[in-house]
Amino acid sequence: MYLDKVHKKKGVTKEGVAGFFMSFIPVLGFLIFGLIPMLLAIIMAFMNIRGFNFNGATWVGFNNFIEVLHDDMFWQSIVNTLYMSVSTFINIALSLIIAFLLSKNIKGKKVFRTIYFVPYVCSVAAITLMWTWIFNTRFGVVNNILKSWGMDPQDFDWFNDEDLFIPVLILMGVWSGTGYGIILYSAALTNVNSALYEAAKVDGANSFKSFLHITLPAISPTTFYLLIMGIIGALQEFARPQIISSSGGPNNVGVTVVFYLYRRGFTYFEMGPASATAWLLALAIVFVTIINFVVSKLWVNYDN
Amino acid sequence: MKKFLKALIAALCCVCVTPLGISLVGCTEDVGDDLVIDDDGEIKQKPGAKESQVKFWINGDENEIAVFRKLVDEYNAENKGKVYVDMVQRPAESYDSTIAQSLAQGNAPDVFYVGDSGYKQYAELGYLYDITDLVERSTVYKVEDMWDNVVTRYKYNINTYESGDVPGARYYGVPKDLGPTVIFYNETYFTGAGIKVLSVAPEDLDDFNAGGVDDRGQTKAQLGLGAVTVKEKGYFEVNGQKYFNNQVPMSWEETRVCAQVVQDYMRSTVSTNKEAYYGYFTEWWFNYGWSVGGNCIQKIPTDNPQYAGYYYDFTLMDDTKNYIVADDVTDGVTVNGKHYNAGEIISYQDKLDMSIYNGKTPADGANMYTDRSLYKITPEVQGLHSEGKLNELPSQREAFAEFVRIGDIRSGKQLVTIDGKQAYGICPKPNQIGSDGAKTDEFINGRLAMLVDGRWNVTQFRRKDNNELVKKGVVWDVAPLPMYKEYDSEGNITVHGIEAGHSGSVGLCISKTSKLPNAAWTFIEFCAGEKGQTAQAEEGFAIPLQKDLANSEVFLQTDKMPKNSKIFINATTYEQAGDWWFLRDNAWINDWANVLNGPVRKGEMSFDDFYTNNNYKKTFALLGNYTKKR
Repeated sequence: MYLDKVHKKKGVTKEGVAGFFMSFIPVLGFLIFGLIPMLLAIIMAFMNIRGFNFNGATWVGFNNFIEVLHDDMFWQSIVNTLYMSVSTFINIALSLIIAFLLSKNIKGKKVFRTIYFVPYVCSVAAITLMWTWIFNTRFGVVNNILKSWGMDPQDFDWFNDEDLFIPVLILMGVWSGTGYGIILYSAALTNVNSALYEAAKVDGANSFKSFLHITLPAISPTTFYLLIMGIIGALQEFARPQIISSSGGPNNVGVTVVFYLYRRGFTYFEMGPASATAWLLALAIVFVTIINFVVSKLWVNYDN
Repeated sequence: MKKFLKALIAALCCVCVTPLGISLVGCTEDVGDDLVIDDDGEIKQKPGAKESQVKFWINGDENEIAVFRKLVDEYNAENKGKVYVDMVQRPAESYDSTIAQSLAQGNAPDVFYVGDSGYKQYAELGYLYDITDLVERSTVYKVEDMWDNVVTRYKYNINTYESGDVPGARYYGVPKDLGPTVIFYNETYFTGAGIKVLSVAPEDLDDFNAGGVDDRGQTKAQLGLGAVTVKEKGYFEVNGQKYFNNQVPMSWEETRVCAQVVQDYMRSTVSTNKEAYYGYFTEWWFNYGWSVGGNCIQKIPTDNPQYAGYYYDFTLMDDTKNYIVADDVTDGVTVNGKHYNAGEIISYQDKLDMSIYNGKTPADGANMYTDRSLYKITPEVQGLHSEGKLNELPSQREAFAEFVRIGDIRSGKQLVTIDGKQAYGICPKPNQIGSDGAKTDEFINGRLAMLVDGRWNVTQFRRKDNNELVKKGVVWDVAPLPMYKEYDSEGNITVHGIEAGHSGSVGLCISKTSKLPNAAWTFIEFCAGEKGQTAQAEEGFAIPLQKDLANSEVFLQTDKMPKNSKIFINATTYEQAGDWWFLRDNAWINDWANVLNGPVRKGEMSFDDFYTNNNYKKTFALLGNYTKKR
């Protein structure tokens, strides 16, 4: 009734003014910290500009995009990013398994959930530094264990070996990201209609079949959400490889797309190519997300 | 409801306006009035002017912070009511990126540290205040009393992209400090390995041989060298007795043998983890390459209008021989129209037939380089060599290979072969050391007998707390960096390169957006002047910029280790900035250095594969960007 009255009122209303001011703050924030930088990035992507100084900047059309697309380092950064994004899929699988196990009647369920969730809320910088110590070639726990098993720790130079650098990052990503998935899956699993399981049991389905044909489809929206957010997050990977090796790791295996963008923009002050990279990345994220949404129609089930 | 809505709207307005207000207040922060320069060129406070509030960002270890805190306090006390310096310590790890971003955003502090590697880019972008006039007018910061090669490090021509004392170059910073590199050696290990240490400068050898004493008061007889003529060698053996002269540069071979002897001794004293003990550590190739006249880039003149008159060729693996004017050619020689004195190395541009570069651009470099037959020594140089006026020195590639060869590079258990010669295994691989701090720790903890590093280590080596060197009463000292030398059968030098190496430096700069450049300059003058330099030198971490001060007890500190501090002074005269200083940023270094310090120095990539590797080859084209007209 109240809303009907509001809708019927014409002109400026008190509620309208209040609503305007309430929405004003986030809109202002978006304008200042979102829209304006985005517009500037579009402009700079088409300019030859060093630093943030528009004096002397020249219009170069699509040259920055062409230059970035012809840069081997850009393509290597994409490969590196995609490789690191493997952690997203491992995260999802592991979260589901652990959440499923935690959905059973086991003691200390809440304690486990809390423990699994703690890494997710910890500072990325702190966690990364912790892992660098764990995998330190000379003093790290991991190499000491390997040494006690008779292996040569020098053979496992985790952060200086291009074959080992990304796997360690994936491990770090899995460790810190699984907790979030577990919480979401735990909630999703409790919402699965139990009548479906009972019906399946009556029809003779075993636990595995029930999981495959009831649980998985029922929690597919959660899986989809985790997948979308995970991929977007993975494509924006930056902090961890940058903290481990600010120079980009052995043979630049730690250079992700955002790292590449940061390096060009804030180390070499080449704002044009950096902005072009930002837009290429944004387009890639939009493209991947659209693909995901299209494909999701084939496997995501919103009818619980 | 009406009142509530009004209150809500008012509150929201306040919330929205407050940050705006704060930011506006921030923009108009009262920093006082700047000092003015009067007609006599003196920097003074205008009558009735407010005190200048200069913001200064710093990073460093606790010793450095303490020294600067004291300096700032002293400066503030001296300038009370005139200038107040607000020193803010920033985290070292993120210092460079924080400075870069604050400069780009136009809110950088008035005074800040910038490494010698980073200031050129900022100068080109117009972020730094051109302090040339202030430098030239100063009566406190006297360039003529300082090391030429150091003060000009912060001189740059933003139009031609040339550094140093070149036409049109302007000062954009002042060296806060200077850290020449030398060999730090553990004398206790040397003694244990049966090596006797003497301390005679090359110019004092005749006196010493005639019965004089060395700098430690030792005679030849006391050292068991009674009847022997001591030659200009850093390391030598006489009748089975080993000697180390800590004032004479070792040759490459002497370095290898000495390091091996000490390494064997170190490993014989421990029962476990023997392979963690090494005789030598250096992470820089400069000393090797520069000693024979090589370098990783060389300037190629061009009339291509795209470039500022020249571009750089990537010559890290240049395999053409180098040439030095023989010592006995007292009149020197003229090569390609340029005069060279005895002991000077012929430049790349003068030794080579530069016509190979005609019509070429850096983009052609990678392809050119693979065809080595293109690079030819000129007939003029070959002729002078045949006449004995020029001595042949190893190529840059040979020197670089020697540097890589010192590493403990193995395939399985076997040391690998680098350019036809087996690696020596006297130096840990980069990944065994890992970081700057780690190499210092390795020396302190007795796992390195010799460490090539800068003066800045001295403070840490002297620290009493938690320092194994001090706890175990280890004697340590310093010696010059190795140098290329060849001897005849009697031990006389027949061919030699030059003493070479790099020194580290951090500069003090003023931001272009500073409202107080004159006040900021007085603080920089204070830090770079005698007071500031004395304070830093007393703490041990830097050599003073003033030559007289460096040669005084303020720096030499003969009552403390290292006793042989004059080695730093000698090093300062010839050492230059590392390759990170050559160009405006390090983009051209990162890719190949990553491969060098990774697969190559770990023995996973051959030396030949290194220079045919894509990361190496693309450097040629990358270099082209640096001198293109912008």
